Amino acid sequence: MSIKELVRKYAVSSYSAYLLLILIGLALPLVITDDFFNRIIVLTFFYIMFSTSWNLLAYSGQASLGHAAFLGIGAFVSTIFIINGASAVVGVLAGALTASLVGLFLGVICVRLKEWFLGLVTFGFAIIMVALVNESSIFIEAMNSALLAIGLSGSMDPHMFGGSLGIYSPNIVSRDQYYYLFFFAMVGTILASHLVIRSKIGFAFAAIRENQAEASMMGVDITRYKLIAFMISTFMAGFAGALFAPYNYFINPEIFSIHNSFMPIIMTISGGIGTIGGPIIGALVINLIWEQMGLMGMSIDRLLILGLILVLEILFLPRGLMPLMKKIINKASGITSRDTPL
Amino acid sequence: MAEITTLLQIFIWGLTAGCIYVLMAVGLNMIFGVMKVVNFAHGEIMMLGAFTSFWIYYYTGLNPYFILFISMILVGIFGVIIERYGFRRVLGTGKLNEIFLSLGLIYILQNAAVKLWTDDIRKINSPFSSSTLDLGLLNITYDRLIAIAFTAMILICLYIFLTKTDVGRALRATSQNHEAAMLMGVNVNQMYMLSFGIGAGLAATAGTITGILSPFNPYMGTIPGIMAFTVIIIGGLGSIPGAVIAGLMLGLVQNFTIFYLGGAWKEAVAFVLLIIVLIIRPTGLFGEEP
Repeated sequence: MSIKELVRKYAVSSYSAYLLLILIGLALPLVITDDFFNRIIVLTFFYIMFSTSWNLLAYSGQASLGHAAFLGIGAFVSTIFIINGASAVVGVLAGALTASLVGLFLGVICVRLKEWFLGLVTFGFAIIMVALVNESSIFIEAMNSALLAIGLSGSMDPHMFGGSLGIYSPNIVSRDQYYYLFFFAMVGTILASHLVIRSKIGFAFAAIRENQAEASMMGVDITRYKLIAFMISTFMAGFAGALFAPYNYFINPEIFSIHNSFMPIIMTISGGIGTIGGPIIGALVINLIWEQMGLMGMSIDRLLILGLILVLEILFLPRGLMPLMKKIINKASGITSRDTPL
Repeated sequence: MAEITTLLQIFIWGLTAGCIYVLMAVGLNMIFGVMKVVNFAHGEIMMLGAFTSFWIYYYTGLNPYFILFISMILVGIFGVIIERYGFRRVLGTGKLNEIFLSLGLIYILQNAAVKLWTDDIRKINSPFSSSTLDLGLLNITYDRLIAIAFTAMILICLYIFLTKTDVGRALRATSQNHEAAMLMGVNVNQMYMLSFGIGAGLAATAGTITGILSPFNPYMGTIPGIMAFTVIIIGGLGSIPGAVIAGLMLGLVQNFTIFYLGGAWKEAVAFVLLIIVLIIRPTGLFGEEP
C-alpha cells in the first residue's frame, strides 16, 4: 500500500490522526528507553501544554507576553501547598486555581483596553513576580524545600533521571510514570482546548478576535468572554507549572524569565496561531531544534537563532507550519476537502 | 524621619532615574503616536545606544557627552532600518504580529550583543566622574546634573521641532489622523521612519546617560524598557507631556521606595502604581482614548 493510499484511508478525519498520535504516544516509552530522550519528550509534552494554554488566550485576540507568570505561580503555589501537608492532587489544583485567579485579576484590569495594554501589563507582571518571589519568605521557603528534596532523593533511587524523586510526589517516582503523567495531562489539555474552541465560547472568542465592535453588536458579551478566555488559559498554564515543578525537582525565580514567556509564543507561531495542531507541531519542532542546539553546545547562539526564527516567521510565514503541512498532506493524498488530517 | 539632606539626595537620584524613563518613554510614545506600534524592544535599543557610545569612547577617548550625539544619530539610523525592513512589512497585518516582531527583536539584539561583546560589566568614564557640586547641604555629582540638563534640553528641542517646524507639524498630523495627513501631501512612510529614528535616538541618549552614571552589560535594557511601558501607560498612551510627568514621578517614587522599603520593591512599586492608575483612570493621567 502506498503512502498516498494510506493517508487517504486512515487520515481522512482529524480524529483518526489524533487517535494515531495518541497510540504512538502511549507506545513510545516501550521503544525509547534512553533517559535523555525520555526527558526531551516529556519536556515537549510540557511545552505543548504551555503553548496550548497560550494559544487559547491568543485565540480570543489577547496576547499575553508574560505567560511565565502563570506558569510560575502554578509551580510555586502547588509547592507551597504540598510542603505544608496538602496532597499532590490538592496542591496541583490549588496552583492552577491560583494562577487562574491572578489571570482573572490581570484580565479585569486590561479587559476594556486595547491589546497593547494586556501585552504591556503581562510582560511587566512576569518581571515583577521575580522581585515579589525574592522578597517573600513563603516563596523562599518553597525554593529551599524544593532544593532539600533533591538532596534527599538523590540517594534514594539512582535509576531515575538524575535521581529525581520529585518535590512532593513520592507515588510518582519512575521515569515512565512521569512520562504518562505528562502525556495524559497533555492530552487532557489539548482536548479541553479543542472542546472550548469548538463550543459556543470558542465562537465568541473568534468573533471578539476578528472584530470586537461587530461581536458586541451581535450580542457577544465581550468582557465576559475575554475573562473566560483568561481564566481557562491561565488555569492550564498554572496546571502545567504545577506538574513541571516536581519534574524539574526545583524551582527558582528563573521560571518567571522572559524566555519562559516567549517559548510558547515562538512555538505557537511556528506551528500556526489559532489552530489546535499549531502548538503541538510548533512545540515539537522548536523543542527539538532547541535541544539539538543545546547538544551542539550552543548557549547564547540558540537564543539568537530563536529570535531570528521568530522574526523570519512573522515576516515570511505568519501562519506557521500548519497550512504548509496541510498543503503537503493534501497533495500526497489528493484530498481537496476541508476534512483534512490535523 | 530622615534628615533633609538625605531626602534631597534621594530626590536628585529620583530625578535622574526619572530623566532616563522620560527619554525612553517619550521615544516610545513618539513611535506609538505616529505608527500605533508599541516597540517592546525599546530597552534593547537603549542598550545598543550605551554600547555604541562605549565603543566610540573606547577607541577614540572623546568626551562621552560629545559621543552621545554621534551615538544618537547612529542608533537613530539603526531605528530607521528596523522600521523600514521590519515593522513596515507587518504594519496593518494585525496588532499581534507587530508585538511578536518586537519580541523577536529583543531576542536578537540582546543575544547578539552578548555574543559580540560578552556580558562583562562595562562603564563609560566621564571626565567629571570625580567632581561634585557642593551646595552646602548636599553634594551632587556633575554627571547627574548634566543628565538632568541634557534631558531638559532634548525635550525643549523636541518641543520646538514638533510645534515650530513643518516636518514636526507633519509628524503631529500623522499621529492625529494619518489618512488626512496623507491627503494633505504628507509622506506618511517617511514620517514612520522619522518617528522610529527619533525614538531610537532618544533611547540611545538614555542608554548613554545610564552607561555614564552606572555600569552596564547587554541585559541593562530590560528593566528600563518595562519601566518605560509603565510610564507611558500611567501618563497615557501617545501623550508626551504625560510621559514626562509620569516618568519623573516614577523615578521619584521608586527611589523613595528603595530608601524606605528596600531595593527589591523598586519594580513592584511601579507595578502597583500602574494597577492603581489603570483601575482609577484606565486612559492614563493624560490619555484621551482608552
